Amino acid sequence: MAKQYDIIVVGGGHNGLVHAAYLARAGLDVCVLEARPLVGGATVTEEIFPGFRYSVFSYVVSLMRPEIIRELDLPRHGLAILPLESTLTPLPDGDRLYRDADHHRTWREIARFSIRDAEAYDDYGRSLFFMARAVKYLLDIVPPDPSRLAPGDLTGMLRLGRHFLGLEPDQLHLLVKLMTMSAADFLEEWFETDVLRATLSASGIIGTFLGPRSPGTAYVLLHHYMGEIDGHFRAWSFAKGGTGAVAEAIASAAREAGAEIRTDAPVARVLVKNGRVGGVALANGDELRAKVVSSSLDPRRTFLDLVDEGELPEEVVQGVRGYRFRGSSGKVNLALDAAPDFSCMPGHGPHLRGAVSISPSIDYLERAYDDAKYGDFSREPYIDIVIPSAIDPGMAPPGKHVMSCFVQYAPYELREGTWDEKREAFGDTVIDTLARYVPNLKDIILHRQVVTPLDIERTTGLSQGNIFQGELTPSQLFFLRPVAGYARYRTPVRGYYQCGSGTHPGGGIMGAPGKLAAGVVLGDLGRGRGGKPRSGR
Amino acid sequence: MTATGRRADGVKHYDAVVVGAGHNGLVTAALLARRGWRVLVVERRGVVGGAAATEEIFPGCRVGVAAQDAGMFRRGILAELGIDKHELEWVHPPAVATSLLGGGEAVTLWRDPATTRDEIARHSRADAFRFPEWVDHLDSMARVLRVALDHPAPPLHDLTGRERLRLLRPLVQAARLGKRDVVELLRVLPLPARDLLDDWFATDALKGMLGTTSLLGASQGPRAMGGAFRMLYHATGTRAHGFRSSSFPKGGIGALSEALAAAARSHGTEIRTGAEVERILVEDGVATGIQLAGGEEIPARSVVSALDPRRTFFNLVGAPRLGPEFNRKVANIRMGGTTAVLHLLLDGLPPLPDAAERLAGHTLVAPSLDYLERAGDDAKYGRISARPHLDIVVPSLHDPALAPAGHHIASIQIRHASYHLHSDSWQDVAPRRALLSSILQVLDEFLPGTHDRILDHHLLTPFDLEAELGLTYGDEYHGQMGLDQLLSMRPVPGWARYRTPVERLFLSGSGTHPGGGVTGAPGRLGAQAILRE
Repeated sequence: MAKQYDIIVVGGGHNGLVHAAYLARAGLDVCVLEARPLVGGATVTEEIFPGFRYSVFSYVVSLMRPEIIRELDLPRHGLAILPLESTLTPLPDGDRLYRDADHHRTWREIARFSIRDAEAYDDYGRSLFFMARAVKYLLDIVPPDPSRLAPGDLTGMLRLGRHFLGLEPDQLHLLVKLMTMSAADFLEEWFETDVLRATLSASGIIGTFLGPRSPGTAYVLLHHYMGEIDGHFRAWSFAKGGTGAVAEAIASAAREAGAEIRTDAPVARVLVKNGRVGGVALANGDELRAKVVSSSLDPRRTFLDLVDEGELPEEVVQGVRGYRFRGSSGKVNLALDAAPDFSCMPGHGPHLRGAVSISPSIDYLERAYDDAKYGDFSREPYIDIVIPSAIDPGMAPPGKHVMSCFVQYAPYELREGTWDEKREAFGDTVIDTLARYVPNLKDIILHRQVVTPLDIERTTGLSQGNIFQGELTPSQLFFLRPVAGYARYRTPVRGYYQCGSGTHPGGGIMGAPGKLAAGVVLGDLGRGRGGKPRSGR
Repeated sequence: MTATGRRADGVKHYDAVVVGAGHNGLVTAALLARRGWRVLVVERRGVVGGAAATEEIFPGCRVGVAAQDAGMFRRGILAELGIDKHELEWVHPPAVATSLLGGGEAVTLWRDPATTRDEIARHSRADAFRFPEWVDHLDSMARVLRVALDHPAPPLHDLTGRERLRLLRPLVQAARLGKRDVVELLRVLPLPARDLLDDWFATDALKGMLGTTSLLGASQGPRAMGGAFRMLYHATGTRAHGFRSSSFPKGGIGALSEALAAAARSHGTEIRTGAEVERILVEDGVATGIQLAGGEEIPARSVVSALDPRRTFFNLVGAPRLGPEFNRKVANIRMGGTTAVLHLLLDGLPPLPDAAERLAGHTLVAPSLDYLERAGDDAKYGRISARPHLDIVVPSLHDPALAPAGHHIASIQIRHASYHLHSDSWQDVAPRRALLSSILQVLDEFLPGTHDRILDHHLLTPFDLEAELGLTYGDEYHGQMGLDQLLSMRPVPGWARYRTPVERLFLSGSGTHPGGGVTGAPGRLGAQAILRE
């Protein structure tokens, strides 16, 4: 009765889909099981309000590995990337910092605040660009495991050592600083303008429950320079049709390669017998058989919910329990009757096609974090805004707009009350904060969707609503992600693999975990070498 | 035995002049002298010891100026210098630390594990059960970390064959301690203290108490990453008993400095106190000696500065001699003290049950991690903490001779009091008054009755620590102990091997690897590097 698959992939987020696509292309019989009616996980576009299409959760694309786009031929499957060309930071006094692709204009704009900073800005970009290129090497390798001394791990460690020790001394020092400093301290070494530091530091705090003054946040600055679209680093971009279009393109590539994708098929548990995986049981009681099961869910679900703890060594259970999620962000998605009018840049300028960052000063962001530390959402939050309909008119009816507001901090655990009680108050805080910079905002809102960390967890299954399937902090990166000894996509259960953002190299719409894990699975099945899946057409 | 030779022109010449007679300067001097070097130590103040000096702050009392606990001091150095228990006696009080919880409540970690367990069990049986395991865990991590303290920082690049070999030794030593411990250490080091403690314990009181060591050498609260490293760092001395070394030289911390000075002298070192160095003399990029404030020039073949790097390079060498790139690195060293010190002369112990026993270790006001976090928030914005964290040591309990009969000295370290105040200056009276009043209020709340016993007080703000002890920005660690300022990055990237861009000028203070605290380790590693040259 039950069909026997080669591989079942639990979870149809972008990583699960990438994983499935590579395995199907290698000729395996693959089935993806997704709990929701649509694929994508947190990479979805949904028409929550008639005529208006929201990128409900994730909202920009930049980290997607270019070879995945190439190898899976995603443009043919409908992927179109539209660049976000500028960043506007409005200031409370009506001034602003506006940076765009026009080098001279950006220089003049920064020079209004500080000529020294305008000069340093190019240097900074070049240094981080170079660093990102050096570190990008890590995105494409399966982490060696220093706690084992298998030959593969030793050579991996040595190759790693040679790669990094081959850098110029100054670059190596910069790298160490990036790995250990706070974004605020790191940026203070480069710039004196508070608003510039603050806006740059903001990318260091996204998705992490840390403030810009917390050590460890500088690394995430780099993470955001690693994106590479069309060969241009750090091109923050937007997918035509919203981020859901990314997932749909990957799903289409996977289907074309022969993968079966079942939606509305929540998995209740992974079947394990004698330490070996046998398949999965769906929530409706159906059982599906497979030789290999890969979970793209986060580590908590992969290890503690889907399998019985008794199947795992005690230290792995402890390790996963200690793995930190701490969702700290929310979203407010708005349907607007007209374009938002920023008092610092009135009218329909090109700034509407870029990002807008509410991050006027380091102290502003740090105070936002302080509120959250003690269990409240920020009274004046950091907000990262994009207006997808200004770039892709198909996202809203003519003349109308959708506005995506990423908000931090919204701690998953509240000191008082529940998110169900506080959802609207949180939404009001975001709107009030924005209205200080966008005077017409309150008059043009047709509909608003407030997404709290609890909503992210409920809808997508991401534990505590952490958008990266676990914080991107040094104790949870590389050979420690998700736990020491199991960072190479395998688990203690034979035939059971991990392929989500909770594994190296982490979150963001990147696809790298899905692809690297596919390489490991194929290697273990004797099909091709680990880390290098067959990539021919 | 004569320590100094004389050149034909009659000017004494030295193999090395050591600037600053803090404990690291003294260690360097003693170790160089032991190898036959002619060494002169110059100290601006009237006593040796720097922050680890004992002085008569109140009439008839001997008071440790800033530091009190010397449990982190590398015992190997004492053995090397032949300082045994005749020269230096140690006090290991039965109480390692007591946390005051308000309302007369307190929880004490004792040197005796069974007593500690009973004490914690009054708050949480689960925590009491886990505590012995925590003690072992902390010890095993600290054991690995200690390897780093006893070896120079590995350079990040340009390894010569010999350096590669030398690097192997600590690696093998660390690996022998267990691969699992090493990997676990890598995971734990960058953790915030809070995360590490949340993994182990449930009781706020216990977590707050244990988390205090994560604040040492940092201006941040227990949620900052790298806090776990600082906890481990402060557990590398004598047995930590789950907290930190809690050991005190009899006679006050100055007794350690004096023993080091005596050992140095016994090998022929000259020590001149009351001699302020005006500048380090440099000719053609080579250090040739020093000039004292009065104009006297003292030539030497090598100059060693135990002062902090900023002071050494900007005040004594002068930025123009160093090149823009190096200057930028020195200027970027994150310095900034957030510690103030208050000494109290008391006419008796505060009325706490078993005060003589419980107050003999570190007595802490740190009732929860959030309490510490909020104190850190104040520092972040350049304010004086309204409710600061206090670390009280009563040295007169270790050695009654330090104070007149029936009297006691309480030396309190206060965090956080930022050197860089947002809207005030420490030179004004108002912030001093505000700081004193917050301390006394907290004392009233957590150790009631202390107020009535105060006969005299002496407050050292971070500004005073800079003025009196020469600690730039009042930073007693000579640079924050963040992960970005350790090992090869300390004091500045590329110059972690005690050398400087000025030939024959060396560093051996807390601003160099492995960092601050009364360890003597930078002093020893500096001496070894100089001897190898």
